[in-house]
Amino acid sequence: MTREHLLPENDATGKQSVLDRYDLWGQYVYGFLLRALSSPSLAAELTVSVFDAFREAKETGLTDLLARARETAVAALQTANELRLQEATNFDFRMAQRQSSDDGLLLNEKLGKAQSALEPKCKTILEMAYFNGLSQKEIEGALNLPDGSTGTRLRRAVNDLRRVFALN
Amino acid sequence: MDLKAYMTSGMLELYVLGLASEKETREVERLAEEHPELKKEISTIRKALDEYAKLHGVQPPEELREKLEKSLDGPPTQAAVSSRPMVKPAHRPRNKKFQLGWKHLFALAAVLMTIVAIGMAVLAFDYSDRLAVATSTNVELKEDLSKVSAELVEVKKANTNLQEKLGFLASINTRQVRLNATRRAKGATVLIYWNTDQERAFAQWDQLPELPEGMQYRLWAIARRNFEPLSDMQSVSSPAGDIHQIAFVPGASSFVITMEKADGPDYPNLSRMYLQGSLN
Repeated sequence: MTREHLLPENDATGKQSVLDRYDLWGQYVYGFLLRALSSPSLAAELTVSVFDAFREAKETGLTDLLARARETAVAALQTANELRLQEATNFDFRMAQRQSSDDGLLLNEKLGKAQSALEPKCKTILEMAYFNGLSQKEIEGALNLPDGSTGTRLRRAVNDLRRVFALN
Repeated sequence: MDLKAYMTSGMLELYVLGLASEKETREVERLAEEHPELKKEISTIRKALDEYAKLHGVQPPEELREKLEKSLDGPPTQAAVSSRPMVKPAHRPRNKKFQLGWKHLFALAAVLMTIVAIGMAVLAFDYSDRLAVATSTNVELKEDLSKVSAELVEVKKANTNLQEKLGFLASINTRQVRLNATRRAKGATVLIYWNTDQERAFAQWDQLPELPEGMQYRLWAIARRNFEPLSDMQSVSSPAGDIHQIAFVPGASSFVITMEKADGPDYPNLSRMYLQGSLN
């Protein structure tokens, strides 16, 4: 059962309202940024910045929040990531998630199951596109794929996810 | 329009992930307005990705909530200038006049005497030194002459090396590949010179982003779907702007440059891809 019904409807503007959303979704935003940037310090900094900016947002759902987190991560990867690269190099996301909390341990098991349902190559492409913000051309060049094949492979990956989450 | 084919083409996934071109994005948005089933499909794709993102949840550090609270107490953008306290310059009281006394005259005399003493010591030291310098100059000149002879031999070697490289570059079978920089390596240039007949290759690079300590760039070839390391680059530009020989791998079809730890693994970290290009 989700806890979204506890939030005030369509109002993310007040301080308390942003904090309520943080309590509910902070772990997803922080986790996403951590996975994308592999840097706990940068992920923490940007989590605050994503929620801070969220008080002025018109759309206040989790989808919008994750989209904002992704935009922030991609922008950080393009500009500031080298500063934290040393930290990122030795970072193991799955280990960090397992050690974060009991929830983290549970999510880690579920993540492992979801990932095993994805074809390895499609999973790589999804991760490169979703978390690393690479373009079609960059993905195809890196994996030596025919031009224009990213879309179909992403489709396969998303279809696998839809099966996992029973969204068909 | 065959809507089903469009929905299964992967275009909607590209759109949701922000990888579609501007034209494609406009088309998807127009079609979504016209066809509710397309809108629903987009929403389901988003939902699937959201659920996947949620599986990556990690409890943030406890102090982060406090930081957010503090950040929310202030306005989104703070005017730093207005909150900065003004610092007034220090000034002398105007009504106190300066008067020259005996104490000042003694201090002045002491300073002058010290300066004269230092000057005399320097002169004495200088004259005794000059003789020693003249003797050693002769020895240095002899050493210089032998150094120049050795350098001449090096220059001749370099010239032969240069002629060999020129011959390689001028060969009709040498292909030049300019790698495409990803967004994180804007302005970087990497050229690969590949000659399958001679089974030799060279590379030249310039303006790669600065390397953090302990990191290096690694150039990989993709040959028969395997990644083969060709060369490690420890500098942001080729030393002396020259071309440098790299490993040759038969059957290479494309190249990738990633940033890796100095003792990195044998497989590239593609999330740190900086440039890529293809022989075809």
